[in-house]
Order: sequence, then C-alpha cells, then structure tokens
Amino acid sequence: MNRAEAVFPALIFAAVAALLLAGVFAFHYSWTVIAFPFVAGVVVCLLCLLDIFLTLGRLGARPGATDAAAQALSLASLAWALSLAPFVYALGFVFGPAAFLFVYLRAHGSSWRFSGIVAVASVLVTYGFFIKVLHILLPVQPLWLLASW
Amino acid sequence: MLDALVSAGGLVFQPVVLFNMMLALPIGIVIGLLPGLSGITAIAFLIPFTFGMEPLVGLAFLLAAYAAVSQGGSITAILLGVPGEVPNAATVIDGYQLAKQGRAGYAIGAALMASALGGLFGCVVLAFLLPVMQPVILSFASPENFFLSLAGVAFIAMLGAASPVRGLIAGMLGIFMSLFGYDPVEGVPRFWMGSDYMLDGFRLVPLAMGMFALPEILQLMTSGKSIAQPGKLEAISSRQVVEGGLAVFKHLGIFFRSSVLGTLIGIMPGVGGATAPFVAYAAARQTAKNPETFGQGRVEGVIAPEASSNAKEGGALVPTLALGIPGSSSMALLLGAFLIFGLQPGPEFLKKHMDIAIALAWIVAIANVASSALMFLLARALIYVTRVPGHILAPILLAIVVIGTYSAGNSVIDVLFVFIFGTLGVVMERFQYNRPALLLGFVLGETIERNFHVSMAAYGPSFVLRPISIGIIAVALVFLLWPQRRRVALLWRRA
Repeated sequence: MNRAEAVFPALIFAAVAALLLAGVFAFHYSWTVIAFPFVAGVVVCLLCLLDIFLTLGRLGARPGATDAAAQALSLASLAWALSLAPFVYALGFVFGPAAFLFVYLRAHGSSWRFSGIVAVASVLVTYGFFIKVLHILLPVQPLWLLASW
Repeated sequence: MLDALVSAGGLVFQPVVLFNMMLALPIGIVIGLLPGLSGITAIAFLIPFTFGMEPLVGLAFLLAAYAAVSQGGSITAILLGVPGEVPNAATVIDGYQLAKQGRAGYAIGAALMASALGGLFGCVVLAFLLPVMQPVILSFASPENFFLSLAGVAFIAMLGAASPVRGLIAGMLGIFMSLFGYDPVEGVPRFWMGSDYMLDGFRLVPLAMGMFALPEILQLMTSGKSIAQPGKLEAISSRQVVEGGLAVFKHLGIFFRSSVLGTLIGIMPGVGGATAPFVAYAAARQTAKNPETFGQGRVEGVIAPEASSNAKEGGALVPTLALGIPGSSSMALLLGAFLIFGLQPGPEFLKKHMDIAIALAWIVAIANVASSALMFLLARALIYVTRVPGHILAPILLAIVVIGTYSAGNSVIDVLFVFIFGTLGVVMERFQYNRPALLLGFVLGETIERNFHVSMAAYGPSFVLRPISIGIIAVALVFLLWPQRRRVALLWRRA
C-alpha cells in the first residue's frame, strides 16, 4: 500500500463533488433534475472518503497478490496506441488503420512483406466487410476533409 | 400445448427456414467476433435483408444471427480479453485468465457448452411459460424493477472485488456516469458542458471497449509477448475443448442456478440483458468454496455468465411475445421486425399464433446449439490467436476496436472516449477497482433512475413497502451478507 492509492479516490471525489456543485450553483438545475445524480454523487463521495481513510490506515501493509501482478505500462506503448489517432485523422478510417499497422509492424521488427500483407488485409476488411457487406458509413476520405464529425 | 409444440416443430423444420438459419449463423458469429458490434447491431444490419421473406423465415434469420453473436463475443472475451458485446465482459474475468495460463481451449469448450445448454434451458422455459406467464410479469412494476436493478449492481460491486468499498465506488460511479445527458423527467440536459455530443451522455460501446479492451492492448504492446505465456502452453487439441465442455457437467449446480437467474432476469422487462451474466457470476463466486480464487482462472467463472447470458434470450422473448413489452434493447428492435412482418406481439398474438411463438423458441434453441457446434469446429483454429506475439496482435486489435467503436455510433468522439475510458480502466485495474461493476452501474443507471421516478410518482415513498419489493430487498440482503454471516451472527449475539 502507498499514498498514491489514495490519490485515485481523491480525484473521483473532487470530480464528482465539482460536478454536483456546478449543477446546483452554476447550472441551477431544479431539484427534480439534480436529485438523483445528487444522491448517487453524494454516495460516491462518501465511499471515496471511506476508501481514502481505509487506504491511509493500511499504509505499510504488504501489497496484495494482484498488486504484484499488475505490470507497469510503458509510455512508449501508450504513445503508439495514441498515434493511431493522427493516422485516422490524416487518412480516414480505411487507409489510416492500414498505414498505422504497416508503420507499427515495421517499427517492431516485422518484415516488409508481412507488414504489407497485414496493411492490405486491413484495407480489405474495413472496405470490403464493414463498408460493402455491412453497409457501415465508415469515412473513406481523411477526417480533416469532412465538414463535421 | 402439445399440439402447439408439434405444429411449431413442423414450421421450423421446413427446409427454407433451416437454410436461412444456417445462412445467418456465420454472419452472427463474425459480428460477434468484432468488438463493439452486438446482437442489436446484428438485427439492425440484417433487417433489410429480410424484406420480402415470409414472417417465420425472416424472424428465423434474425434470431439465428442474434443467438450466434453471443458465441462469437465469448470467444474474443476468452482469447483476447476483449468482450465482443457488453454481457461478454463478465466472461473476460476468468476466461481471459485461463487463456493466459494456456488453457484457452478448456475455457472455450466450457463457454460453448454452457452457452448451448443455457440457451436450450431458456427456450424450454420460454415454451412452457408463454401460456401462463402474463400475470407474473405484470406483477413486476417499476418499484420491483428499481430494486432488482439496484440489487444487481450491489451484487457485482460487493462480491466481485477484492475490496467491497472499491466495488461499491465503481458501481455507484457507473450509475453517476449514466446520468449525464437528458434527464428523463423534465428533458433538461445534465452536465453536458456545452457539447452537443454530451447531450445524450456517455455512450456504452466506448465505455465497454475502453475499460476492457484498451488495458489489455496496452499490456500486450508493453510486453510484446503472446497472450498465452510460452511456459504455460498446453498442446492445442480438440480434447482440451471437449474437456472444457464436460466441465459444465461437473458443475451442474452452477449451470442450473445461472440458467435460472438468466431466464428470470431476461423475463423482467426493462432490467436489461447485460445484468444476467454479472449476477450469475457473482452468485457463482459467492457460493463457491474458495471465492477468492475467482478472477484467477476458474472455469465456473466462465460457465456461470455464459449459461445465464444465453438463457436470458429465451427469457427476454417471454415479455416480448406475451405482452409486446421488450425484455431488452435487442428485443425492442426485434419487436420492430415483428411489426414489419405484420405481426403484433402481445396477448392477442399468443391467442392467434401460439404455434409461431413456440416455433421462435425452437429457432433460438436450434440456433444456440448449431452456433456452439460451429464454434467447437472453429475453436482449435481460433486458439492460435493466443499465440500471436503481442507486438503483432496489439495494433491489429487496436485498429479493430477503433473501427468497431466508430461503426457502433458513427462518431469520431466515441473513438476519443475509448482512449479516455481506457485510461480510467488502466488505473482501475491497477488499484483493483471493480470494472464490471462500473459497467453494470452504467448500463442500469438510466433504468434505475427512470423506475425510481415512476415509482415515486405512482406510489410515493411507500413504494419500498410493496410485498415483492420487500422480498427483493430481503433476498438481496441475505445474498450480500451471507459471506459475512459469522461476523453478523457475532454482532447479533453481542447486541
């Protein structure tokens, strides 16, 4: 256990309390509108306070089994995951993911041929299956060319 | 009754009906394998293909695809930790752990057998209950649905987590998050921050994908290793799958209890089909000898949600056909299909078309068994997915999740929210907050609020004193306090 564990419930507490206060004092919701979220939010806040209290009371205790199992995620993997967004923005939902897959696989040691095959398969699945078979309105053109999202 | 059963059998076993069912099964399985696309999506996509078909043929086509979606979704839940649709999220908890231990075949076998038999169970119940269920269903009004939904969230929150307090935080946070957007009484948008997107609140698919899929994808990207660790791999064999299937018969108590729970929850109009697998999982965990080992790869944790998930489909058809009140959102869409075919479900429908009603039960039963058999055949090939290195599988999964999420709502902002909820999911996983509880709270939050307002308007605060409400509260308290019974007894004696 460490103090960092108390930060998450504290953040939830702060976010929920801020929303409730904003609902009452800034947005001026009527009691009928705010009543149910208010009750749910107050319960969340009270539970968060209890969790913080219990966490701080356990400081120094040995971590649980799943604590050890939880592995740290690398910032590089997070950056790679987020990098899909600019690809989709620049190239659309058909060619964006294909280009992302090609670049990712090449950067992680896959061969040109394998990366290319996966990218082509991606185009076939998104265009052939999603758009042609399922008739889903996936934007083929780049998102920056679209009037609205 | 017997006449109706025989007559319905004659309707179902026409070649044209069976052919259309067989055509729909692979489509349903493929849709189920794609994260984000659910049973309701399958029905929505396939309705245009049924124009011009005979009513029974068209309904058989839709129901067969719908029944198969769940099977596909459970496979991705086990192999990849990515729920195909929301109810499959309960299967992820233990199924994915089994896959990590190299026992994916075992988990898949158990899931498919439990699904097939659970689906059969639900359909048998449906066939027998249709003529007599009307008064029972009508006795469940908004107060009962309110308490039932609240109890469902409490079960998952308290029983599914290492810390009950953190479980409750997750469940209540899910309910709170579901209350963004238009308020059901006055139609005033709440907490919408000036964004048109937020007028309808947070969306379910980005939440489910972000909370469950993204943490696993990031883990795969970080480690670069396959889902099944090389040291723990068992030889992939049909035997492994068959052993998993036989495991259902070793845990018949859990199977029957989960199927009954699934059918009952499916019958309740408006409770929501996503509740059943979570409640069944919680019940299985609570009644197990070593509940703390749930979440680490227990086959009972796969059997319970899968049996209840498919059993609920038969149950959900009961109010849809008997009352014209859909038991779930998918059933609401199916109700639309009935109207397209010129059929009006309700008490009159049962009087005039009991044979069609029971034929639909036959169809769901056959579709469940046939799709399970199809998946049994495919399982051996699909298990190889768990051996694909993480640096290859993770980006492919990420692309599928992003495309699937966009497809579900046609909104780029949904995709953005996958990453936001994914961050929340990573933190919750890290600090052992109960992610299924948050998801279930979110799914049921709107139902809970709506039923609360209706109950207050119709009965006032005394709605808590209705006999069935008191019964639900009592049963919920017994279930929730059962694990703490010794401590409660001690406190009682001291008092």
